[in-house]
This record gives sequence, structure tokens and C-alpha cells, in this order.
Amino acid sequence: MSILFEHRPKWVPYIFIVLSLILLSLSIGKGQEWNPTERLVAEVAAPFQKLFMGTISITRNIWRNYFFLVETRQENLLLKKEIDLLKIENSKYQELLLANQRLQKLLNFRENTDEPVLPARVIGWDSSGLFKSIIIDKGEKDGLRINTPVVNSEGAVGRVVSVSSNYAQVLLITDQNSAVDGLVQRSRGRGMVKGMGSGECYFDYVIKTCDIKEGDTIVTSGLGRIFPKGLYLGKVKEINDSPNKLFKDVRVTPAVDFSKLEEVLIVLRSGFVPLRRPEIQ
Amino acid sequence: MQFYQGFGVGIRASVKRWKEGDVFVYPLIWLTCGLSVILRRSINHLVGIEWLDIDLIPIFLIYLIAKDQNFMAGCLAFFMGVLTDTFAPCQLGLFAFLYSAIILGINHCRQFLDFNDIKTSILFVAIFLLAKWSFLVIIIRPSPLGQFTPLIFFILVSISVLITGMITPFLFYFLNLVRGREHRDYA
Repeated sequence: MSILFEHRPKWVPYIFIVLSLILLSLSIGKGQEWNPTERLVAEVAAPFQKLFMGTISITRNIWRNYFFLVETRQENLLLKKEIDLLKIENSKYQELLLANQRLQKLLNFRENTDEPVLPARVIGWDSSGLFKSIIIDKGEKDGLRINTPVVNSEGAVGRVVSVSSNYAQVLLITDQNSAVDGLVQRSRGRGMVKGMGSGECYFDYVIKTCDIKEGDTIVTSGLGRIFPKGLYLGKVKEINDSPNKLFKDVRVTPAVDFSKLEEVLIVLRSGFVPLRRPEIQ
Repeated sequence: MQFYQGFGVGIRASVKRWKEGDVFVYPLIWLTCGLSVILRRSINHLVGIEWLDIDLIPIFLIYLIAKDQNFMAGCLAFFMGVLTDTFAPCQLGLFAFLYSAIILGINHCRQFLDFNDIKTSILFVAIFLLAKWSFLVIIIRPSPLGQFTPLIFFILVSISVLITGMITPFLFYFLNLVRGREHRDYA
């Protein structure tokens, strides 16, 4: 026994290599779902993230509410004028909305807007710097499951990839491992919105004959069984139609500003069946 | 009065014992590394410099290797890797393997180089980070590097490495202060 400890420094690094290889091989093919140990780690560590983000948020609010009130009166006057203009504009939109509702009833078109949503706070960002994911302060206890869609008022944010009792990890649509089935809103052309690992996405598998222009809006098609149909994914930024390629090369600017992501909405779909890999017998 | 004096002496003696036995520095290193892993990307996000990757773990690892704490360095590398894996949407064990493998390589270099020299330590912190990014770029994503071209990506990584290298002497000095052993060695 003493021999083991005497030579510990020499063989210990190899033990860690072997251990990590075992971990890697055990986790391959199981997706990004947290195992019980990881859940425990997340439950212990996430409160620190929550505390940190909460402190920053409080400090920021104090700064904005009390110290950043220079020229507020002038701004207030300008905003009041703007509100008047917006009220007029709003009344027009109300009319349009009512017309739209009537048409929807006529066409018996069921939108997914009546699905229950649960607000959640972003408490942490990806720890590696290589991936695009966030940690939110809602978990299994709140009804979250793997692949539950996460949105905000601007559009689709991502999907839940790991979940513990009180926290969950959300893979953003900008991550390189993310793919969402999308539609060109104007022409109904199909494609797949894939993350680039940066602030942008690309719209893949867009056929040459597809009618798509710069500035077109891409929405979710609802075919992936994860996101409801019609959620904003982004706007077409650049199209490269190379004759040597089978598909059009389309770059998309996401609808959601991920740099300002603080709160998200979790869509708890009533008929939603969480997608899971089939168990290998 | 005597009670308070006795109490004060007791605390001083405990702190001294802590410092002599390196009991205080290791929990501090683990705590700092853990907080660094779970908070650094959030801080980057809040500051708006997400491209910058200031990784403090290599500094602590090199420090531990310099102090002949191979076992502690191995443990730290492995568990911080696991923690990184937990908070990143990747396979469990990826970063644990990466950190452990690099530490193993650096451990071998220890036979030929003096890690107590601060320049060597900075160099190895830089090598650690470059090895980490090279591995990730080669293994995880061979073609797309996000919005950055390979050259810009390399420049950004180099800036991160440079800043981390610049932090190294300060952290080493701070850790030595905590250990109370700067008179015995310089690293």
C-alpha cells in the first residue's frame, strides 16, 4: 500500500486520463443530457451563478434608477410625444388584429399562441467559451423536459438540452450543434436554420429554385416537433448562390439579440411529447 | 481581558498553522477555480467581450506543478474539466480529458525545466492555453470558426493567451503571499 502512495505522483496523472476517457466513452451517444452526478453539480453550482447575476442586476437597476437620471425631463417630454404617435399607430394595429382574428376563425387556423409559457431568468452562460448555451433558473419541478422550446418576445431562443430539479441548460439556436427547421415567411421556402457558433446562423438546404431575398424573415416550420410553428428565427442577411454548390448559401441574423438576453419564456406545450433517443435494448 | 488575549493568540496560532501546513491555500485555489469556471463566461457576457477567454485554471495548475503538487494539479485539472463539461453542452469528460492530458504533458517537461522561474511558468501557461484551443479547434469543429476567419480567430486567442500570461505573475505573487513562503522560493 505504501508503494502506491510513494509513487503516487508518477501514476496519478495517468489515472485521471483513464478516468476522463472512461467518462467520455460512457457519455458518447447519450446526447447532452445531464446525468445524476452532473445534476447534483449543477444544483450546487448554479445558485452561485444566480447570486452573481442577481447582484449584477440589482447594481445595474440602482445605477439606472438613481444615478442615471441626467436629462430625464427632456427625455420624458420626447417620450410623451412618441407615446401619442404610438397610440395612433396602435389603434391601426388593433383594427388589423381584429380583422386577423376574424379571418383566423373563418379559416379555422389554429395558431399555437394559446400555449402556456413560463418565464425564467438567465443565470449563467456556457463555461467553455466554445459553445452557445445558457443556464436558466427553472427545472424539472417547473415542468421542463429535454427539448422544451425556449423563446422570448423577439423569437426562438433555443431548446432545453439538460435539466436538473431547479435548473436547466438551454442550447441556443446560434450554437453549432443547433438545427431548427425553418420557412421563408414570404415565399414558404424550406430550409434548416443552423448555428454557426457565433452570433449568426446559416439557412441550410435551401434549393436553387427557392424564392429568397435579403431581408426575408425566417420562421419556424413546426416540423421539428420542438418549436411551435411561426416563431421568428431571424432575417436573411446575405445570399450566395454559387453555381458549384447544390444549395444556396444563406446567412441569417437571429431575431433574438443574444447579447441582451436576461429573461426567457419556456413554452410548456400541452401536446408536446419530449423527444428522446430510442432506448437500445 | 485574559480570555480575549488568549482568544487572539489562539486565532493567530491557527492562521500560522494554516499557512505552514498549506491548508488555507488549497481550498482557496479550488474555490477560485470553481467560481472562475461557473462565472467567467457570464462576466464576459456582461462586459460584452465574449471573444476574450481569460482562463485562470492553467495558472493555478502551473503553480501547483511548480510547487511539486502533481497530485493536487491532476485532481484540480480533472475536476475543473468535469465542472466545465457540466456547464457546457458537450460530452462529459471532454474538458476533463483535455486538462488532464495537457497537465500530463507539462509534468513531463518538468524534468527538464525549472518551473519556479516565472518566465518558464508564463510560457507554460501560454502553451497550456494554445494546446487547449488547438485541440478544441481540431477535434470539435474542423471547419467553421463562427464569424471569425482562422487568422482573426488566432489573433483573438493570442490576445487571450497574452492577457492570461500577464496575469500569471500577479496570481503567483498573491498565492505565495497566501502561502507565506515567498522567502523560500520565487515563483
